[in-house]
Amino acid sequence: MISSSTTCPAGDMLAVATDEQRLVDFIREQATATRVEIQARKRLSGGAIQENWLLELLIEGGPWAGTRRWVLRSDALSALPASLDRAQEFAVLQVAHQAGVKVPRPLWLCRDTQVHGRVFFLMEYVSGVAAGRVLSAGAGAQGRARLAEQLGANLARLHQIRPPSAALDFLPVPQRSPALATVDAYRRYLDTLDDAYPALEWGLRWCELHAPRDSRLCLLHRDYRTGNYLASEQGLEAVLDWEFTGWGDPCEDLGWFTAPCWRFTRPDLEAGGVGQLADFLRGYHQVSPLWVEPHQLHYWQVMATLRWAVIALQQGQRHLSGEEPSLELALTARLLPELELDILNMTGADAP
Amino acid sequence: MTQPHAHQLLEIARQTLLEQVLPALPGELRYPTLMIANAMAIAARENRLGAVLGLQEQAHLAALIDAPAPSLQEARRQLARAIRQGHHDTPHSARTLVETLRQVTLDRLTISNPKAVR
Repeated sequence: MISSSTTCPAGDMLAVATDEQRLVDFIREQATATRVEIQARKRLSGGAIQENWLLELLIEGGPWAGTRRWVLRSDALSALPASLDRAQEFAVLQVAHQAGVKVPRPLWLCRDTQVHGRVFFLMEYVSGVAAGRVLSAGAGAQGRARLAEQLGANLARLHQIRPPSAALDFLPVPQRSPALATVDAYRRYLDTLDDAYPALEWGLRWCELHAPRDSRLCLLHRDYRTGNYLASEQGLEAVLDWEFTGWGDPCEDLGWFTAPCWRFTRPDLEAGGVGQLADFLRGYHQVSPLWVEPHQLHYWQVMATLRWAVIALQQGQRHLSGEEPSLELALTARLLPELELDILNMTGADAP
Repeated sequence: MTQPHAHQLLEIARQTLLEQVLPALPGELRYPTLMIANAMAIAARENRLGAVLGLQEQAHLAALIDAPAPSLQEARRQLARAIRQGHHDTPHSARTLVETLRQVTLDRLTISNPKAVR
């Protein structure tokens, strides 16, 4: 693929033109337009797992007539285990959108790989800042109360969705404790690796011994954290990256959002490095009757750190296996000792 | 071995990259260049400290496992298995385990990210 673009540029240009014509035809049909023109396309950053393209479109005729900025989201060359494909992610986005969660409005799914080479969907473009370092660096001394509150309320709206859901029948419903099922899954993954990780094993054992006895199931985002939403001066604009969604304990999302590993430049701001925990939880409780105890949050922060550690190992494997050689993936694997230290600090003698 | 050693080569290569190459690069290459510099710094520190820290870790872990392990990898495997089987659950044993693993992890952080050692 890469070689064809260097040895045969003319042929590659032709391929792009054909690709673009099929895409134009697809959009014209879906939008019941008379004419569609792609005026610009630009690769958006932040897609280690997917490819995201911003399309600037001129649409004539039909309900979408005018200039439109839409995002085309397709599978990348290699996917992380446990991530949804684009068709499934599109279904999740529709369900979340209907539940009033702030998301980019989903438009259409295209399963025909003749159109773009891979399955993709279109959604509306939302502007805002996603970069965790930028958001946390600009959060101010007390953090952004309104943003934290909106993030809490928004997550609670998602958590109102409970199984079963016909539209999401591809998501497995845990038959027993989601926490213990997660511990099992991480152990199975660690068993596939050449090396052993005593600090992670300790974290998993701690989570096994302290597992919550009962938990309610609801729809989780499973990657709800700073870096995966767009924010503006006004506050929250949209939550992105729905590829890890599944049924589980609502506290799992709360722990992931507030875990020390996702606070970027502001470890003191427990709500994702952008706000105070009290503001975030106030927003959550405005929508959800579920009361969150500090020990529940702590438990799921430990689990969150374990999960990030497992993902870091998986990212490293994507690089090491030769599947997707990447300096960024390689360096992600080197985050492991930091995460192990967080786990040990949270589960040692001084831990609550 | 021929001097300069691997870590010394990496250190001067990194310094040249940051001081002479980076200022001449367009803005969009800043982030990848800083990632390259970071990778070189990690590799240099590992080359300088890795062998000693590996031996230290093996000695630390030896105090936590029953049978002597022929290698660091094997020591980690034995300890991981024992933890999973619940052999370190009692408060006393858990405290010793966590303290030892903290020390080992802090040592490894001096290679992968010395700034995170706190």
